[in-house]
Amino acid sequence: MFLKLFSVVMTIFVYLMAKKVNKKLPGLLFSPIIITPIVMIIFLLMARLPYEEYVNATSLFNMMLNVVTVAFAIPLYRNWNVLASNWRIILFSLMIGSLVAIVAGVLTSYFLGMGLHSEISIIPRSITMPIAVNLSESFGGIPTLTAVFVMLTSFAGVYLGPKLIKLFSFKHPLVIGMMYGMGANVLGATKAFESGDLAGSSATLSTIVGALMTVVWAFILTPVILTYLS
Amino acid sequence: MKKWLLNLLQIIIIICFTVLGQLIVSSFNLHIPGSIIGLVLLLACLHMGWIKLDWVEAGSALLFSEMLLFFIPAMVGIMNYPWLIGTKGILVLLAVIVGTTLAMASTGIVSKTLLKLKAVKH
Repeated sequence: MFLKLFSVVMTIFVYLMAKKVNKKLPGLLFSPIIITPIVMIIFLLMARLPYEEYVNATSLFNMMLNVVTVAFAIPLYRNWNVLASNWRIILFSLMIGSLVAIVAGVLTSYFLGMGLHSEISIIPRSITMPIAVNLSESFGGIPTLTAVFVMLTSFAGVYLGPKLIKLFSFKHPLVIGMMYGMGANVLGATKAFESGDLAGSSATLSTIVGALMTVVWAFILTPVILTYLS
Repeated sequence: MKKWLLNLLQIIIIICFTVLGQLIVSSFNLHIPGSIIGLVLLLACLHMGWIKLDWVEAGSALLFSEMLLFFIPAMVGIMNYPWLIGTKGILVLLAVIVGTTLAMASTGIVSKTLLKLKAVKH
């Protein structure tokens, strides 16, 4: 019990420390979201505290993640007019983006020979965690593996974002937001907010709409994938 | 009112919507995350003017500025997959990076082109 409580306090403490470090050493590699998990993994391994117990102890964090999702209603409301007047463009871009995400994910994992369950688990990886895990479950994927794919994808997305913006000279905040929302969901939205309120809101909306699109595509494509790849 | 107390009250309003969303999902047995329902409800209340923007804006700003903290337990979950450190992990990472690049680039290019077309029309 003490160890669990300690792990929660320690997570917050290490996070605050990591934030300070990140101010002196900017860059994703020194970001609190990289440093803190590494320190915590080392701590849990040394304290022989299983991950499941740590997750139980930190269930409040998970609940706060839901609260953050709800709070995204506020920037959405602030930018409603711009988003609503471009709804066709947003819908169509995300339809393409989510299709590419699924096809690319399945094909690469197929060529890497990761096995059918991994291929299904990778389908919902570019959408927000709770929906992704549900979707993976209902199609016979491995939910915990999907969770890992979601985290890896979010990171890849946040890391790749600035490079893609430069390469394709994306300037419009709607475009930047959609790109981050589609590629890196909620974590991408936080990154998009760095470049402005509209980009962040567009990323938030894209996180939700992209997830819905992926659900639709998954229903259409999973039978096809199961027939051709198994 | 003290600033931290105001922020706390505002966050509590947002938490109420989160709980409401989860209640709705569990009582109607829906297969949608409760947070999405909560988001839609809060958005609707803001539009109807039942909730004023000033009541929640500062609280949400505070949530967003510290939200990375809430991702940490999920990140620590990687420790359950030790094979991620190794050849297989590098291959998976490669698959993820290639897929994410393609998805993000296509979303960006399509939306950029469409926005340009729209601007030309007007």
